[in-house]
Amino acid sequence: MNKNLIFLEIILAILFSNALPAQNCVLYNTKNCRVKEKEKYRISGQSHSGFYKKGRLSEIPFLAYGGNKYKITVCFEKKLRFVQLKLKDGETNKIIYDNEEDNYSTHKTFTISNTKKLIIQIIIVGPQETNTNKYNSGCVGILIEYKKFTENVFIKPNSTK
Amino acid sequence: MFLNYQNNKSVKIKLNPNPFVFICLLSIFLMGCKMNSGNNKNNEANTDDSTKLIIENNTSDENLTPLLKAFYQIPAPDELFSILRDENLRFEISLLVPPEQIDKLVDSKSQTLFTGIYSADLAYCATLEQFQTSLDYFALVRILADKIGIYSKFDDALSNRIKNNISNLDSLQEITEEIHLHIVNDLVEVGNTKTLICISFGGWLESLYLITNVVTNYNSNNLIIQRIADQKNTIDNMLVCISSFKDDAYISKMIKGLQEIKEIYATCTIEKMENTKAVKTPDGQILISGGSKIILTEKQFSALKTKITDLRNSILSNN
Repeated sequence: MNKNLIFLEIILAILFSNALPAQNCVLYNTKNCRVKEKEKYRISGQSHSGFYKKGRLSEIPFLAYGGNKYKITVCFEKKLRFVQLKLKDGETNKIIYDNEEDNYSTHKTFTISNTKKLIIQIIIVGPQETNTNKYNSGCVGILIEYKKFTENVFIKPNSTK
Repeated sequence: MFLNYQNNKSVKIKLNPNPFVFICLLSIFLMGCKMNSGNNKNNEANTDDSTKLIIENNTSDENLTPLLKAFYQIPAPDELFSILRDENLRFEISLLVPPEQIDKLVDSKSQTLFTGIYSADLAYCATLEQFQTSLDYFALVRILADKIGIYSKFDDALSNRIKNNISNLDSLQEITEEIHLHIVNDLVEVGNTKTLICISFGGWLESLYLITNVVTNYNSNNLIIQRIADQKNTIDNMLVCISSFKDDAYISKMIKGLQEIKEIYATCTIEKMENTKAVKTPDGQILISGGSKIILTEKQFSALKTKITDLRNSILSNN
């Protein structure tokens, strides 16, 4: 190949390098969010991976089937530092869970008695980094896992909300 | 560009029209522009209180279009079928689309639709631990995936994993889930929403056909009946998705059938229960109770079963 052409390719790669990560988030959730544990969960097809910018708010709606136990895990590139995860009622928009109260925990499990539309809200928090934009965006994975719950857990709960 | 020294007295600069040199100069210029632009943006950001969340005036969602938002509320077939295994249902091979149907799929639209249909059949087989049939239907999905250009997701390594785990239900289901996620992620990433929606519609319809036909006796307390009733939550989203391609003659034929299914669901009553309550257990879990429950009567169930079967069979007979 012509040396000039090779050089041109290198230059273009440098110039457009900031655009590359946007295309590298495929299956980020299954590759990075899964934690092996005793309880066997199935992966929901409603899981999502994407390229997110700091400060932007994104909502991923999903349908949670009654009688299931769900585990939601959020994982992200280290440079993003913190991701705020909220779980909202899809009909009333009321916040069910906010990981800010949980020291930005990256996962939460919940059980649901009746099928319900829920919304996962994601915000990459923290200060805008100076000098370069590459620290202000990156891959985020949201892994939704489920299993049938067998025990009657809806007994004597302590109300939180 | 080079410096040409002549007589030590004067320095003459000659311009050489070498593209290499031009690229270097252009690159330096563009990089300079880019750095300036980046600095400007950051300066703008820094004029705000940059240690604070920047969400007050920015509630737009640029990652998911309304179409994809609708799409993400349609659970995959294996999620719908998970209840079949819990209910210890018998596997009915006669319900599956015959493998020979693949020979009739000559155009890319029907091949795309049947990628979803055969994927649902594969998920049904895997859920009910039909290992050999799963392998057969995986082969069908793989052939169609090859034809519509998403073959890379079904490479030899994946086939070998399936063969090696043919008697391990957990691994088999994990692989089918992985295939689904891979297809969705890739198609979303490259913006091929039409293929994604078409595959999803095929899978959704076949799943509903299978789940309504495995129920032989209606019982309002049956969990499968409740799961079928719950699909009222997905029909609107499926219509939103599929209607975005209504100008396509092939898809417009299906919209009518889908609307008729929606009309049946519209007659279902919704039983309001107590307000949604979210409570925290001592081990940090959340229990969500209350809300509402969709009631599907025996008459509605029969009408739904007939309509879904008609639409699914009309697709089979027209291909």
